[in-house]
Amino acid sequence: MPPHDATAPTPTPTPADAIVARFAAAIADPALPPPVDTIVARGDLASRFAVYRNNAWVARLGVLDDLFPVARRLVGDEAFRAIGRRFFLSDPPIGPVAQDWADPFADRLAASDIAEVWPWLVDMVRLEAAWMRAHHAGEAAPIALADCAAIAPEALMRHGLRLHPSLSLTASAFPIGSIWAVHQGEGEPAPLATEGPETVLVARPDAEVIVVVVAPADAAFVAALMLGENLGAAADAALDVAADFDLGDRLTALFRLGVVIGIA
Amino acid sequence: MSTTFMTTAPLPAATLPPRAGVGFKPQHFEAIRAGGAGLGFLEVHAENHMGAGGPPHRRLAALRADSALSIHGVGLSIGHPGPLDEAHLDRLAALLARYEPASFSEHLAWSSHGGPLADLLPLPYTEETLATVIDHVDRVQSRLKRRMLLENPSTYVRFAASTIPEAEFLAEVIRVTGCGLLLDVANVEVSAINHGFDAIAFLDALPLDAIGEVHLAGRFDTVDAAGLPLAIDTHDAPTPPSVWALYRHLIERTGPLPTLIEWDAAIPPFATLAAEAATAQAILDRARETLDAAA
Repeated sequence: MPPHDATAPTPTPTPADAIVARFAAAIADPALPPPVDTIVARGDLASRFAVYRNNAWVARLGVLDDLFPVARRLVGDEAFRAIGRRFFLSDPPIGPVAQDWADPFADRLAASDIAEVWPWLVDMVRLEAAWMRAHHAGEAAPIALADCAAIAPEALMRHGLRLHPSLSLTASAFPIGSIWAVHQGEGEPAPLATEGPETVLVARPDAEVIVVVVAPADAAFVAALMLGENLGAAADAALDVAADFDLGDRLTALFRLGVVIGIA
Repeated sequence: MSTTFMTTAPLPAATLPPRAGVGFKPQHFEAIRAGGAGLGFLEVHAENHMGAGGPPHRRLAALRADSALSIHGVGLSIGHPGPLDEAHLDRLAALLARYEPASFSEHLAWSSHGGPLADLLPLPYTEETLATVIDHVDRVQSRLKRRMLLENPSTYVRFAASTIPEAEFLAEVIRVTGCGLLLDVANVEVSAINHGFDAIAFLDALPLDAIGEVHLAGRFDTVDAAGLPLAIDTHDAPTPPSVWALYRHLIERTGPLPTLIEWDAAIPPFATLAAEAATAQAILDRARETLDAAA
């Protein structure tokens, strides 16, 4: 490309710019005829152009199906595809990497009128986006609680914990972790044994992504650690939520999940 | 060494072995690790390996340890008239630095326009688009510090604005940029059926000595609303007999070339894919014997 000249007027679209723009517009809108620029040596232009339109929509909506299998099951294929079409038409993601579409999709769903009708759908999409982030997150080796034995307990309280880069918490006013769990596998989901809010911890300490519903105090504890608070402050945050929060017990559980990778 | 003007200095050209390989699918990981069916190389899509870590990278690192690797991009949109996505190019550079594959390839197509379209879309072949594609291939090769292979597309429509035949367009990009050709024989036949041209004459017009890899794949044959043949490049079936015939014709002319079985949808058991690769390998072996006998 020629060097950019800030004083130059906006370049007029070239023939290729215009052809590509018309082609993309006709892919977006099935009501449009094939672009005027296209021809066929033989046969029917509309059916041939339709191959491109079909491929582009099947591929993109297929990506959303793969990223959000539970959200799709909850609202049904037809509604989920309608939401997907709107996403690609109104405010598409940037870039060709499918996994990068998960968070923009969640953000735009949260900002849309659909969030008012189906607020739980936004949370489920956020949970599945967190799963995908964890799946692709960088590698880091967990440490064991025994690795902290050299630090005196009082001193340890002044340290924070370095947590696995795949770790996230997704909070919801709905039991999204339980809903997610009963929708794993092909069959009819088991009835929910719970209702009410849930916070879900997602991480990938090794090869497999783990999805764990955590108690409110545990969620406050992990959230504080994620913000870089030391163990003392994180325990205080948890105790504000539940007076019976047992730091030793919860710290052991956190290390057992394999999500602690160092002492800060 | 040469007085010919080149837009880029000669680039390192790692090459794939002239043997049969397959497109890697995660469900075949164990079967490939168990024996690999004597495959010459494996190919993966770049865009499936652009996270920082996780199972995709763990598998790729394991495969790379005992197999030649081809990284095949599907998202660079080289044929779009706008500037290349530099952020995507950066990620490609990081991926290639991490795995040092024997080959990197992309398509003569565009796939984004203000957002991803997730399909390989056709471009008009004009002096303007030729200059753009040459610019883009130059930029890719200088950023990635390696020679790339450019793949011929399968197409369903053409453009009234086109003034350059596709084979000539590809040949000129290759001549000016020094890139190689990824010749998709299945694409040649899909386009030949859809536009009613002669596939062998098309091959004859290409710089066959620039081929760095061959693709073979299955397709879906149907008819359009006018009842005329329409071939759709689906990568979901065995390579049809007519594509094998065209491939044999090619290999008789060129000698053995790295050859990939592409199967991206309705993925079969690994044994099916391995049998397709074995068919290609047998054709390559015969070409090798012919060359050896002539030597």
